[in-house]
Amino acid sequence: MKKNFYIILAGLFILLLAWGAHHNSTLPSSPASLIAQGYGGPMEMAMTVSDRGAITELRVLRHNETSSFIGNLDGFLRQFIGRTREDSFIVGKDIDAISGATITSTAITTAVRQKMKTSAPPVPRSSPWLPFSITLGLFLIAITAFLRRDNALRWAALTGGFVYFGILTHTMLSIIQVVQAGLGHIPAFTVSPLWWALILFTFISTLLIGRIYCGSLCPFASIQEVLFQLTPHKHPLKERVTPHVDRKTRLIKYGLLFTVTALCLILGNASAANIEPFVTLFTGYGSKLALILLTLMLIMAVFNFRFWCKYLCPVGALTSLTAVFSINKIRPTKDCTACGICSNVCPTQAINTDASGVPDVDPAECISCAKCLRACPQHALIFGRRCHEKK
Amino acid sequence: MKKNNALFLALAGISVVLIGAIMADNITSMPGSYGEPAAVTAPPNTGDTRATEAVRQKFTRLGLVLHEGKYWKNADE
Repeated sequence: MKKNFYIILAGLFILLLAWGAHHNSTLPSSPASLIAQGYGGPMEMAMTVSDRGAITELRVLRHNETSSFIGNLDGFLRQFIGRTREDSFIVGKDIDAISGATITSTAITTAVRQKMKTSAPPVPRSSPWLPFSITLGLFLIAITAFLRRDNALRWAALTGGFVYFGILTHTMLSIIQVVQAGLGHIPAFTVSPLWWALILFTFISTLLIGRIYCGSLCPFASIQEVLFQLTPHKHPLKERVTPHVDRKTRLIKYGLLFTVTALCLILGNASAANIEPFVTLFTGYGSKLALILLTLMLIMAVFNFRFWCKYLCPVGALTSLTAVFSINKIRPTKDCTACGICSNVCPTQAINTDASGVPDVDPAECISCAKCLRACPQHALIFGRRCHEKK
Repeated sequence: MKKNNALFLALAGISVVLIGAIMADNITSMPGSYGEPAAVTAPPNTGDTRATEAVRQKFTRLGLVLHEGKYWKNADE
């Protein structure tokens, strides 16, 4: 019945994406929105950026500045056309201010700079195959770690993911990418090879192996796992909640996945999808609310293993739904003695036992860490397409 | 375990509320994203007439029209 539930959810999500593609196919593409804190208050602006990352248009839509002070606004805004995120966007350096309107000029320049640094695609300088190959390499390390049940190699993959996706490129699998794909905003491979690599390799590896990205590559997951090690194993706050409460709470992430996706498809933009704390953490940009959420998630990770991943992550929910269709799974063999060790050691409580005590691994919650495979004293758990053989 | 359950559920609930607030904040901070047309509210009929005329010409070149003499909006709305 549980598998049917996941299949229904997956089917509904595909229908939602299909509806969104049809709904947004007739809508004009939306320009990026900016808010600049001008002299007279917030200024609402709109900016469009080409596929190659150059500003093509910049408009002020609403402002409370004194009109006489911004008479040459047109000339000022024209300076931004053609610039890319590689530019500094600093008044006095590469941007000339409007004479007598320094505050307004600085406000607009700062808003454009922040927007370009966080959302504009980088101007392609080097071969797109380099980031594509690095990502492939990291995925291969993670898959090898799982198949060889090598925890050290898994941590090497986690570290590689943290450094490359989190620190160096600030690009990781996010619901924003999924929604953008649903809206038809798919970047060219030469502009964003990492986008293609992450989506492609995560989808393929999940169908073949399971949630390899979530388990061994996600940079936010690695931070959460490190934080969980900070407190002793028997800390009172680390006591597991009742299975019933745990199972019901995990449904929240599916609700968030559907809510975020539906809102974005209805509104025709990805603004509602910018909720993930790891985006705030690795890009350094976020509202106060986003910072509070990030702090709360990091605190929760100390006492509850991968709290964000298990209960709230919308992209984790998507990989969960995909993993249900994985062609390979962890299964018990006839040598299983139903000792329950695998269920106890599983860090995400993905292993349930039936009436006879035989373990049943839930592929939607399994993060392919191979801890159960290493822990089984009878080596009775295998990964593959073989079915459980009755004694 | 009951105390842990309560604390866990409370924190999960707070997280969901926070996420909802972040979503609402993101949506409402984007002009035109929830049905209202983007509009410019600065009327050009104040201050220095030369600057006013320059601003009026600029807005017109951007494809904006003055609505009822009060505020500017996109011409195709």
